[in-house]
Amino acid sequence: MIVQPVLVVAAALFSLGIYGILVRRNAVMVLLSIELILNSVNINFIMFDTMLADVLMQGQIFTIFIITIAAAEVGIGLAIVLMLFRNRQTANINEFDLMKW
Amino acid sequence: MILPRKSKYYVAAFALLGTLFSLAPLVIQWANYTSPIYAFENSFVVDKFSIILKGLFILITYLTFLLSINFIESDKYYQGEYYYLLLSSLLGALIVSSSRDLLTIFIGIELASTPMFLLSGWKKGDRKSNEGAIKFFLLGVLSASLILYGFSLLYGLSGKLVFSEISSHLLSASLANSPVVLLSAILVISGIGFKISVVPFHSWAPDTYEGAPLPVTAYLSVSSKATGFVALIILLTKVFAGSGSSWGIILVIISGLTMTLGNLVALQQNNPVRLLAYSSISQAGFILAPIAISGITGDYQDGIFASVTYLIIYAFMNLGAFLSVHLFSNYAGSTNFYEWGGVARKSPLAGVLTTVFFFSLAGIPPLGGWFAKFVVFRSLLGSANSIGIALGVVGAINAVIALVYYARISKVIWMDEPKSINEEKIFQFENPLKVVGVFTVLITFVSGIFPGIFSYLGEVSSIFFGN
Amino acid sequence: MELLTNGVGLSVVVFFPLISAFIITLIPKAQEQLIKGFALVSSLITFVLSAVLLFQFDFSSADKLQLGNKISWIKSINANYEIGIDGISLPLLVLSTFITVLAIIYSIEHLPEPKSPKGFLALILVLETGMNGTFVALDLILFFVFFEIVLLPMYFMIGIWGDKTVRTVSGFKNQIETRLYASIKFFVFTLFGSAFMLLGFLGLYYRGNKTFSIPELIELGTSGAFTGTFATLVFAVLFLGFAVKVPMWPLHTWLPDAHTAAPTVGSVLLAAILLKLGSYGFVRIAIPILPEQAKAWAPAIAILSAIGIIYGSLACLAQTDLKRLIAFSSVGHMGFVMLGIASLTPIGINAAMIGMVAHGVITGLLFFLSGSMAHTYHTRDMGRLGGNMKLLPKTGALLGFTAMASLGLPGLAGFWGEFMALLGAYNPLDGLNITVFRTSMVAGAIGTVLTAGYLLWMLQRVNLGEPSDEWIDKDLHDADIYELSAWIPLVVLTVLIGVFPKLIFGATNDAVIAMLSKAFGG
Repeated sequence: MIVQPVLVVAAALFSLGIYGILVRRNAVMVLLSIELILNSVNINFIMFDTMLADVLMQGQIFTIFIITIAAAEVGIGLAIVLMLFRNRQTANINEFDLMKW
Repeated sequence: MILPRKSKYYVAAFALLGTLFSLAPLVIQWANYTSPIYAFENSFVVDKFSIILKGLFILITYLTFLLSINFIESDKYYQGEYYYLLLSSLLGALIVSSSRDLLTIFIGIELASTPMFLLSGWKKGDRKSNEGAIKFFLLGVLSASLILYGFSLLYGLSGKLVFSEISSHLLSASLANSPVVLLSAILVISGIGFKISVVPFHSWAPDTYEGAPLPVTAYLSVSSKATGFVALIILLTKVFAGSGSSWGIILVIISGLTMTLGNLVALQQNNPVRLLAYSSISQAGFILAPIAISGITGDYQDGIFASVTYLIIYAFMNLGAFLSVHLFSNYAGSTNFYEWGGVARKSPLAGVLTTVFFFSLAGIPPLGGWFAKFVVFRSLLGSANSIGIALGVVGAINAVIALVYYARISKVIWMDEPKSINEEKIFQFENPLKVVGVFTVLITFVSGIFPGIFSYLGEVSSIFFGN
Repeated sequence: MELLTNGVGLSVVVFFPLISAFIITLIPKAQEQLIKGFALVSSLITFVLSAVLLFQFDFSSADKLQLGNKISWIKSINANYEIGIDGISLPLLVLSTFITVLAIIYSIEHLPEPKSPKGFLALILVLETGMNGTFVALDLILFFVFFEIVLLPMYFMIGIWGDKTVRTVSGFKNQIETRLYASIKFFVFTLFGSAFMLLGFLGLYYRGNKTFSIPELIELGTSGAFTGTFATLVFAVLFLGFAVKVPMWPLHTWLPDAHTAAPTVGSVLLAAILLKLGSYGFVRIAIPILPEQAKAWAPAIAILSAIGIIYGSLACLAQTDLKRLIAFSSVGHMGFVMLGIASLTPIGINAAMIGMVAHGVITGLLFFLSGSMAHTYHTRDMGRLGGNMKLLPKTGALLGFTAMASLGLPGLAGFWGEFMALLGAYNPLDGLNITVFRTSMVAGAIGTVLTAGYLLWMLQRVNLGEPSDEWIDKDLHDADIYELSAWIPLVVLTVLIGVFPKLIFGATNDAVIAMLSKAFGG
């Protein structure tokens, strides 16, 4: 079974996600980057599950939970972004600077 | 939510009663307690640690409801959803304190924090509230994904989700200090670090605290933080116990930085909520210190004892501090506390409460805060380890710095000349708030004068490490 | 009677003021007379009770801790509610209850602005609990808690009722009211010392079989349980905690500010009792538990004390403010107390004990007088005062008497402390560096001359001469009945202690000798 390449892909996705969070300025894109990280976690779990041939399939169950929770979180996140956009006509996180220190 | 608008009042009453009733099974469990009870294939446990912390979470939520009643009614907020979301968050916190596997603890953490994203943006028209919410949300989700990545590595190493099985597997395969486990520990620590807002993961806290409705802020700084600490304690001692010396050092550094930075920035605040935000960052450093040292020495029981004791005492005095900020900023109509000159004379009761809470946070006997600080110093020096003693000295210096800004609010409200006191304006101090004030002030005094009760709770809960 | 001897009596002396303070806060604000009466009665009851304890106290075994008790307090860390008094703490305890009564009598008619007797009197009573508690506590944690309890009331007393003059403080951009600056400075300095002191206590706890009990730690300490760098560090932090409170040069800078800014009663309590908490800490905790370290540190303490004496006196000569002058004189007088303690001989520590009591009585009275004069003249500037004897004959006469007592005139209380401290420093404990101590003694002797100098100079400027023209048409009122009834007892006490120093030595001597022989053998 090919384990290593899949794990490397997951790690790459994770790093891409972190990079996206640091660099992207649009709140929605940041949200997407976080989704990338979550997906890398999903890949990890499924890969480990198959690799270990887990009879309880705990890894896959975990993945389903993550997908559900991620969906809920995206829902909340988009609601917040929408609210922001209504109030300020922008979703650029650089402009959220009402408060400092 | 299904009630018509008029009868929204019942929602609050129902929520209050419900929270109170949920204390009953805890009392029964406590009374009949013989040994830890495990359920669901060892992934859920009822031991004294969880009973005590559940009691704490329920009490905090109850007090938050009391704080909220007038606040929510005063504005056009959604009432039903508000209580529902807070209760969901409470449920999450309760799950965390009993969880013994990766999945349960993850769901607990998420359930506790997700409703708070919404609640922190509850003031829909307020830009600051929006901004605080988005910062909180983005970093909150990021932290969840970091924790998850750490969990996935653990699962990959051991193929197990239940803590006891993971840690025994790590021990038997002598993997405790392998790089992967360390990476996983670092990811978990940084993920939870966002929840408990320690440096360098603290940047969301002041903004979110400032933007959120005040009762929500109080809840965030007390209950959410406590949930994070409980998750951290459980994970570090049940899963990563074998690699304590490595994460111990990291936590020591984080703890020292958190105390110092939180304090130094708090010194320059003029907004009382931001001041409390930074103060609670600095307090998080103190709560973290005993856990950090226990990682190095391996004496987890002592570390948990100190942290839990601190957490319990801190929860009530911090709630009280938010209550007093709420009262005065409402009255003075200003979020700059330098403009609160002499307001204590309008309501000496509120003035005395404020003084008590803030000096208790500063750790002045005979108020509860001194004992909280004391157990932390005790555990740091008890390590007989030069790192522990150094951290103790850093803590002592910080305790003195903190006094300066804690004393400042008391100074302004008692000693400054009244600038803009409107004789006509009535000082509003509603009855539910009075209940909160009196209750928290009593706990603050009792924990300072008879700290034995609270150290007993801490001691009992620390035994959980053994089983 | 049993109630008095099994610790209940002492506990009542400690906590009765606190309960009274709580009751006072419940009395409506409008009932001023009731509040004042209640405060006075409760402080009197406390004083009478402490006097009763004085008769219960067995002077023939003054070296033993008596009238105390020990009950469990915080089980999980083995901290106990352990109290008791011996010859060392007894005089200070009685002094504390006594001065509080006088402070309340004085406050009945002379409340500083803004009035509000309720808060003021309640704070005095809370303060009394802290002071009494510190003198009876025999458990390090209990001691620490009481030691800190005094901070809050004093902070608010200075901050709310203090001097409202605006002044420039170096390091601050804006001008700031004296009271605000002084109150936080007092608080931060003391807390800084005590935060480290607490670390020291914890160090003792872990090396000493996990006990906080002072008597048990003394047993351990004298049998050599604490040695090496550990003990040096612990003594250093204890020194820091106590020396800030005393205050010793160079940690004294909060004192002149706090004294000048505090309301009259606040200065009196600060000078009379609060400063003694520090020197008492040395005698009760630092020296008996860490005798070897005390020996090592004694020359340093002696040098610092000598510098304090000289510095205090010289600073006095440079003052124009009457209250500030008295504050600096406190630095000098506490220098003598510390010099006596540093000698580690029975005579030196006895001198310190009588010096503490005498300083409490005399400087307390000086602050009463200067506060009252500041209230009458609305100034403390000695350049503008003058001819006080003609304007306010009663106050002037008392000021003259007290200044004489303060400069150490034989026959009055101040004499014994200074004279015996120098005697102790001339002949310190065997093994201590004689040169250092004799030099300190000479410095102290020069200090007594300087003390006489500045006090006489102060008297000349304030009391003698012709009144300046600005007072001619002013309605100046001399001491009234409340003031006199607060002051006369202090005058009587000054004379009594001066003539019969055995009043103090009778209690302290056995205890001091026992403590020293235990610590340093033979």
